[in-house]
Amino acid sequence: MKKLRCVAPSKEPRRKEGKHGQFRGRDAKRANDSVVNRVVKDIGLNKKERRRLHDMLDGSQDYDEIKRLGQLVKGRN
Amino acid sequence: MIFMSNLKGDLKNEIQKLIGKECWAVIAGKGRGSNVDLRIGEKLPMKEPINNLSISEDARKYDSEYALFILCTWRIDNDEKVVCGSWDYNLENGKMLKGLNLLIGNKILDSYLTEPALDLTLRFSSNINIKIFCDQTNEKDDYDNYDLFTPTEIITVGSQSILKSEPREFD
Repeated sequence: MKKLRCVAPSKEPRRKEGKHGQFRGRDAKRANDSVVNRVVKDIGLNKKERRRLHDMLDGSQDYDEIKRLGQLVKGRN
Repeated sequence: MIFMSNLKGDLKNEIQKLIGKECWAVIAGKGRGSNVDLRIGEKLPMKEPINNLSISEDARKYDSEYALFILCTWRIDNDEKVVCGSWDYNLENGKMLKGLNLLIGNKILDSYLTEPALDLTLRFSSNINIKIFCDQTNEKDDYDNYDLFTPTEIITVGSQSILKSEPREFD
């Protein structure tokens, strides 16, 4: 009888990379959510400010740009 | 921020008040990951419009009487099939926005809040449902599940579905 063997996990990263080296699918959304959450915590946005920051995003921003927008939102209130 | 045992009652009452109200804008898509803001009820002019051409003119000019800001996993179904969910392609003309746009112009017909997690389903006219699954349970991350913005307060279903509230201020 053939013995079943466990296959060693692949060393390849589980996250799929897109054409620009960014994550795709669920991983991309998670990465995106995580950057915004980090900005929210780093600059201490409240609920209203958090939602306003969401309005201002358009996908062209990286962490620093999102942080700048967050500071702009915070300064408005 | 207020932590109160009767917050669950407040949340239930406010969700009931959504019935009959129209969703007139959905803000989601590129750069916003899986997060979605549903604008519901009366349109309230903002003092300073939002300078972002990636959202509709109404959404730039008006805030809403109620808003549901979803930060956890969600899915849209109609009576026959699954339409889209939080992990779908979120660029323009992608599955996520096409599905979410089906909510616009529809009224909320019914709501279902499931305890203890406070998962929420809103049923809209045209037989479409948005189902919100409170999957933010990690204490260390401390990410919220969803915020319900009412005319007077913001009720947050936080990590592990713990409720919080703070007063809502308009611009």
